[in-house]
Amino acid sequence: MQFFDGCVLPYPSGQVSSSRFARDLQNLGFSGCVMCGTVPEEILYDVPVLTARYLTDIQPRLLSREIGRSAMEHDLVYVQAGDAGFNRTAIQTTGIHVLTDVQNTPKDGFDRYCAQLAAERGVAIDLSVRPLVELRDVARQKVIRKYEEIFTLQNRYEFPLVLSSHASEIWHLKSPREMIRLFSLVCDDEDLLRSSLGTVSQVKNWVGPVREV
Amino acid sequence: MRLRPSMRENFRYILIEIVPEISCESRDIYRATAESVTSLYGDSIASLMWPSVMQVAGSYAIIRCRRGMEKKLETALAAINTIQGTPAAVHSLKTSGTIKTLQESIPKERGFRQGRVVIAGKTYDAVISRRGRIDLKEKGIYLDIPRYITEEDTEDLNYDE
Repeated sequence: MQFFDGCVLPYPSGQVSSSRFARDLQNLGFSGCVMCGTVPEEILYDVPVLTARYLTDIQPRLLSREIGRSAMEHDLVYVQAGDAGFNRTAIQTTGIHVLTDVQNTPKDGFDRYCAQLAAERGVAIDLSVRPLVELRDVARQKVIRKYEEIFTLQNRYEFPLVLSSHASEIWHLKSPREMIRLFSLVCDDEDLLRSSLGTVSQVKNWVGPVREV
Repeated sequence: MRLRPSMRENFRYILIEIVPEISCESRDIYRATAESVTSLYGDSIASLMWPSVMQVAGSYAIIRCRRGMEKKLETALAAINTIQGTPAAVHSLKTSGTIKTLQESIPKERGFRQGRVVIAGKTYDAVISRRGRIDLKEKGIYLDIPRYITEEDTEDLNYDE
């Protein structure tokens, strides 16, 4: 089984070079990763590296233009989630692969309609392990509650999930086993968590359901 | 009270690695572990877990807990983000029923050397590990280069004697 870290943020987002991230991830047991931001192409990495553009604070009407630009340079497009209206528009926009930061959306920001759309269009929802580690008390409880909602919707609509560390420093990295342990606070289904660690490659090559023409 | 061997408590031991390597004592690791267990599971589970630090060797340590609680302890260890105020991660490497098995897994030699690296025409002091990881020392760092790199990111590499 392949284990991909869904999102790491190399220098200049943090103090870690992309090659160092690739080496550390290999040592932790990952078979690949997705790097968001500027990634040097000339370096031969220890693990397969997919590049992604991370779109944050973007207006819905500008989404298509930005995605068109990203598609030329990056393998994947990640979009930061917003309110329900934005999320619906983002999921329905062609070229978006992953919706991230869903834990920061307002109440009902990611509802059952969004979940249904994500399942239909093969857009993955990214769950980051970082808030579970960095936050404490009520803030962490809110994130756990949000993740529980997403797992409930995933159980019903079966949209793809991507688990990521969102690491910008080496101490943010977690091994696949640690990620599964941390997400098992929210979800009991370890098989689902294990398969979610390998979803990125499927999201990249997603083809819609077979249709009768 | 002296108990018969069959009545004694069974323990599990977890080998952990602290990243990045920082100088810390067993009580620092214990405090970080206890804080993480309590904040994640509450006092009731923490009191059932009996975590304690058995041994510290460089960036490795062995932590003990009651049998059946090792998964919860691993989760709590993964949720540690600072040790004594310094940002750090704790990776659980192996779980065993005896300390001896884990002691055999701890590397005998320190796997890194001091050296100097050249990046963008400038020389920096660095700690170089055998696996090709290079951590630049904080002193003299400019903001236009990353601090944690590999050999591929350098132009030249020299080890100190």
